Amino acid sequence: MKSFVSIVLIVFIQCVQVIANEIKENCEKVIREYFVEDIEYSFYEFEVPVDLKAEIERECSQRFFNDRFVVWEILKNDTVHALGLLDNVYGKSLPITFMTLFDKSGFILKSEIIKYRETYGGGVANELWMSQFNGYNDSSSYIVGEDIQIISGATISSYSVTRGIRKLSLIVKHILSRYENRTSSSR
Amino acid sequence: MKRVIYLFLFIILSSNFSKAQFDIFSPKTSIGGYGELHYNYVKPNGKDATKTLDFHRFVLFFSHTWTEKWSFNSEIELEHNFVKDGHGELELEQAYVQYKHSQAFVFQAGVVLPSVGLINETHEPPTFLSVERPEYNKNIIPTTWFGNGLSILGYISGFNYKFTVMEGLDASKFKTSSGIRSGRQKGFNANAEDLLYNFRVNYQDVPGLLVGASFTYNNAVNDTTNNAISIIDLHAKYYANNIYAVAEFGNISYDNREVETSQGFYIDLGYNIGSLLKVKTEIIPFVRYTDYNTASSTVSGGDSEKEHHRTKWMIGAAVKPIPYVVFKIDYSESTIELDDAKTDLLNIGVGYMF
Repeated sequence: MKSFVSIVLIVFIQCVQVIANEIKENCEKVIREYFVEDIEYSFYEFEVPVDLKAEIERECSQRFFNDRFVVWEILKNDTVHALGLLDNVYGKSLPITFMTLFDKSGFILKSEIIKYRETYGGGVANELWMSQFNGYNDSSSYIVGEDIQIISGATISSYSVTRGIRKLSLIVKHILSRYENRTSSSR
Repeated sequence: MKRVIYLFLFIILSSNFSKAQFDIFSPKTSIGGYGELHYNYVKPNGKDATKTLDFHRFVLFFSHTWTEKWSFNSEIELEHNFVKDGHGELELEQAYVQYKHSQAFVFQAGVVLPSVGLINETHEPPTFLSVERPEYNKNIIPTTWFGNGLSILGYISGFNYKFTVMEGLDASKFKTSSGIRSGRQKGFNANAEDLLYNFRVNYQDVPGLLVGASFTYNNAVNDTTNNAISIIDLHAKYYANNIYAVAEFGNISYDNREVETSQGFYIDLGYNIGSLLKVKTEIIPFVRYTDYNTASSTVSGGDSEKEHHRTKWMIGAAVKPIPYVVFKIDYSESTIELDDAKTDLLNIGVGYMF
């Protein structure tokens, strides 16, 4: 009887975890496919400092989805090689989960839609569209329709994802500076 | 038993830790909408001009998502600001339960939209250039066209498909001057003797570009003999690099009517000069050419074909201070082939979506 109850509970909990695992697995897949060389990766939760949050939200005209988000730390030879920031923005009514990989200088290496929940406007997940952000950083121009092409039938998602990626490009500077401080204090 | 409880608690805690970081979904109710106010000046040659101010459409969307797979969407529209004695309309244009198995397979059942042309599914004012919807999307493809039924749709490798089965058309209400437009049953105790089948595929793998086609068939019910209709539509849109280009073509074939076909097309070409002026506001002057004939081929031929053949040149501008608000103006001259009768039209409007 005990074994039966245990199995039922575990199966139930595993079902609940499927969606969460799907997002985690998709993130890992993006990292593994981008960095073909020997790397190690792990993740932690980053809490956005209150003053910085307000400043970036004002600058990008978009609120953070949460006060905290997941940061993937990608290590090569035991030092930080790149960061992957996992965040969400709202499309027409549902959250769009996306990840942006940054190099050590804060330049975008790759962005990818991890989960698109809306019925329409799935074109933002298009690899070619997402590749427009490659090489951008916090001081790049992110004007939709000019620097970033709009997607026919996905107007709201195009603007929303663009603002979301810009937000991350601004905050990654702050996250990277923590690593620099850590390195200099350990010298 | 204690060990089982500890195991349960351990798994719950560890799963919650993981869920908190990666699973952000929670049930949500959303409200959206759009609306448009129009000023219309119409001056037929040799006649007095009419001038009207009309809050043409006020639309609200309500949706609720229970889970990532199950949701409900609806759209309620009030037309012309007022409903009384046959004036204005209050319509339930969408109301469906949706199951989203994956991006490639979505199922909808309720009041749905057939996917014909560019405007029927996407018609918020900031998404097209003219004050009024293109005339082609009134007299050839009747927008907004909705009805009771179900749809299967999805997105696979750059291709977006949609298949709809819904209530058919009432052929007894077809008119020579407006094609199938008056035959829509609009979900009101709809006759379901002969259903309508619609399939559309769009290619959307190049940013800014949409190219697609649709086919629709319905053995439309009539008082005596049914009138089977088939619609072929081709459409393309390119909104990128400050260029706004649109083209649509449609042909309706009738099996059992004096009118054998209705046919039309229009082309838009606009450019966002806001980029040249280095301002964030989009300023899009455009030109449109329209040619449609609701009786392009008739059994008797002759003047009846010319009487319903209209061509129209339009110039205008759409100004978008933000992507969700638009101010528009356009001037056009419409010509009827039969007697070369011309009508001048000036429209001014404001629209929004959220």
